[in-house]
Amino acid sequence: MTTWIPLAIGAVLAAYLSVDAALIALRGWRASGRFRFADRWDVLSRTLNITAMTVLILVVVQWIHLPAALWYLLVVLVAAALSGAVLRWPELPWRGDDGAASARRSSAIGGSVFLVFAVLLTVFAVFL
Amino acid sequence: MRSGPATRTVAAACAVAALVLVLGVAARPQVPSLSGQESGDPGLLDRARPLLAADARERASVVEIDGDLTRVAHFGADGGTVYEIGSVTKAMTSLLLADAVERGEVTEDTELGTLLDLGDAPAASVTLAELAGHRSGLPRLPAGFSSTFGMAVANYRGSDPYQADLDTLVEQVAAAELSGRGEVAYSNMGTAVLGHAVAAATGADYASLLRERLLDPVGMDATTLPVTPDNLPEDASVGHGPQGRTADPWTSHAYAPMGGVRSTPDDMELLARALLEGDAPGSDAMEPRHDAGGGTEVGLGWWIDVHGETTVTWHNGGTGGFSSMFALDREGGRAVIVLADSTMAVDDVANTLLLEEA
Repeated sequence: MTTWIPLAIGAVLAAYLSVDAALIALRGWRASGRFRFADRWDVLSRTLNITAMTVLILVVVQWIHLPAALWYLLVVLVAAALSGAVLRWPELPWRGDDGAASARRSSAIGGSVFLVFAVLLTVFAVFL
Repeated sequence: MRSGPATRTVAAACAVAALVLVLGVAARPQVPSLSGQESGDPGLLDRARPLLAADARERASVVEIDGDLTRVAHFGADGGTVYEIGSVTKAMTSLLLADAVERGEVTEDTELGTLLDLGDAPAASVTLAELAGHRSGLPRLPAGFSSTFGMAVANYRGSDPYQADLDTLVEQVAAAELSGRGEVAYSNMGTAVLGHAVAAATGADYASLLRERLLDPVGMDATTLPVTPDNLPEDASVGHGPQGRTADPWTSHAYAPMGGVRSTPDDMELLARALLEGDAPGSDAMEPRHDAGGGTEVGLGWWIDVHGETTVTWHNGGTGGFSSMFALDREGGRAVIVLADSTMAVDDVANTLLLEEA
């Protein structure tokens, strides 16, 4: 088997999750500015996204080719992201007062349902 | 002055972080590492250990033949440990072909359609030598979305992707388009159907032919061809798949002639000695016949490379949980066989050990 293909897939997925989790962690520590949570739907959407991505990476990536330290790095980033989201949660409204709130809510619900369904399907295909 | 998060919120955030860390550690990928339980020749253990420990695997065995001397190195294993040898089975199938040619039952130019019912399919005119030398033009695997998707899912699940019975295999071969016939292109389908064709020419099934004409004469009593999971013992050894998880055994069903053999280091030594001494049935299969490109030649199912002044005749193998490499220096009377319980290839390990002493 060509080794670089699973290596590349693992690297791309890990890089995606790392950036996503780092940005969420950043939002958790900022109450204003560009990188901040708009509302609770925004928090739910983003945290569900990285949780699903983490499960996907655990199941799909060919870890036999990658250093175990990469997994622990991802776990630390996800922990920082989720704890940051919890920190910011109480002060956020369920729905922001900007014009994009409705779209954000729909996107959060639809995207999250799709992602969770895709992950469950993958886990089902792998383990059952 | 801006107030920070409430103490309760901070505590909840810390709890979530701790929970994620605990879950992350508990669910970490189970990547195997080389067993510290070692036995065998101290010198070979020292040479093989760093090569094998460099990649993820738990059990591994090395057999090194140098003239009359045999050295072994086992990590979490012994001479009777059963490994899936994967495509090294192809080399055995080609030995059976060469043996059948010597017996006058077929010729290298016998056409596949004279042995199996392929009608007027393109593959009917393919010769046995073309199948053995990967020059038939048959695809590597069955074509079509369902086959490709099924193979991909099976690979991720760590399950055996080869589920076709003999009738289905023949249908797949009959439906296949030939592409680049005469050029070397590795084909699992080609070797699978070759095994059944040779068996048909002798009036036996493939498993019986392998037993009667190769395994028994060489004395490979611990080597088996289960064909289906029903024929596996309950404690059948399993390896580690690409995700690090335990992989299902591959028996390969009708594709068994291309990768279904399970064997042991002791039996692999017997085969290597028989091949080096010319006692193995069908040894003519190892003679180079065609240029495969990149400095490699191909015989009947065997690959031949030249490294400096050493000519290496070899076949490697891989299944959902095992890797193998069977390398012979025929002129030097030497061989190295490496068997391991993960999908990480061991070709370089075997070649390094074989060539560093050449």
